[in-house]
Amino acid sequence: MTKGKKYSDAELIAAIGMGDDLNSAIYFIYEQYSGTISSFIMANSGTPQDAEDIFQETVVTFIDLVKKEKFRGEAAVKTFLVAIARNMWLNELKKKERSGVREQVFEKSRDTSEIDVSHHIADREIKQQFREVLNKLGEPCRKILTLYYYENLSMKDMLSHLPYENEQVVRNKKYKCLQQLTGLFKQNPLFARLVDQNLR
Amino acid sequence: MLVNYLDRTLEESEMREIEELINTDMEVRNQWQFMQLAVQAVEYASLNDQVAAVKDQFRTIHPLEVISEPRKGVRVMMRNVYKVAACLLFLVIAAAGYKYISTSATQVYKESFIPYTLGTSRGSNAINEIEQAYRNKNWKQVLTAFDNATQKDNKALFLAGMANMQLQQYAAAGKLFQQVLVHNAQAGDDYFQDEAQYYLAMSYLANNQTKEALTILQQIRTNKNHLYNRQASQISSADLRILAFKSGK
Repeated sequence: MTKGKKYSDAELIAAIGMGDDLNSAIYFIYEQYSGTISSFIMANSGTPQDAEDIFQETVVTFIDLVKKEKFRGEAAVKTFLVAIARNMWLNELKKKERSGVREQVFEKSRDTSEIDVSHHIADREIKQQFREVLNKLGEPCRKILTLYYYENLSMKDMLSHLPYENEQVVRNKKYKCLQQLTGLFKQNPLFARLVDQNLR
Repeated sequence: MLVNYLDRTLEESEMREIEELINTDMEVRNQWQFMQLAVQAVEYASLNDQVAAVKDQFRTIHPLEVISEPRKGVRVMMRNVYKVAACLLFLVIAAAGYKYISTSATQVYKESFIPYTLGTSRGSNAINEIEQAYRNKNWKQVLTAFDNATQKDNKALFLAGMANMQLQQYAAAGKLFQQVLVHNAQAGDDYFQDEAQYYLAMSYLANNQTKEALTILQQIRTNKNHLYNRQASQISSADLRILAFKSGK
């Protein structure tokens, strides 16, 4: 159970940065901010499901930015989360091509004093393609790469989570899995185009 | 070697060699970028899965509620009505007089009040009792639980304030919202700050304290980051001007 722990803004950022008890931090974010931000999305043409999805993506983006030290508490966590959610929801509204008037009003409500987080927010299409490419990778490979690149476990620690004999087998397996995933990205037209544009 | 470079398991001199290769060799750079994308995808999907798992846990305790949406239809309709009324005001003196007479703080309150529906639950048992009563829309029970509570944080104060609003005890509601603002000012916090501020303005409107209400509403309307900026901005400017004129503000 991860509920119950309370954090100040600084403690929350530190907890996410250290990653020791990330579940508690995520739970706290849900407890503290999901109601407010969901209300905000729904007050701006969103359905409850929209609010749920946008908030989840907001939390993922927020944690990612904190982990990469792109947000270190320059603004209040609440303000920053609202800015992320607002930006994501605006992009979503644009895509859904809802009422032009409503969009304009929503967009006009932004001004230069607002935190600009747009450059931190990856396109939803990219995230969707991330998922699709990963789904083509087998579960064993996905697990190995997750243990190594997300959970930052050593080869030795990974052994206890995997049905392999020794560290060398895990190392070889991890190498092959990464090569396989890299190959899948090369075959994906969106990423091939992005990399190609980046190389030019 | 690129994988070892990615994993930072090379000697420093080897790291520099690979860096040089990435910078100079297009094919290596291409492979490097795809590899980075692969790792980014793993990190993104894993984090997304972890957040989703915690969210599911959270939702088993706090099911997703359908939060009352603002009465958009009514407001949009009223906005259109007021646009038309503005034209008639210009053209027809009688309509202008009617508009002037009919606009009141309580009327604006009725049009702009949005019931606050609780989305999450947190805090001590006493607070939970308040929340539970609030979820059940048992406003009197909210106030009883609030009176009995030993810990009265901003959320408890705010919910008690909202219960008073529902019971049309606007002065009592306003005092509770003010306490939230005072707590935050003392603690340098913003817990339920925006909510308390907006509903304090609502309580003033309902209580015919027009000047006080207008001062807060103008603050909210000019603060684009305020959570209720959109709601406050949707109150007709014509209404606010008439209210300001009537109150001598």
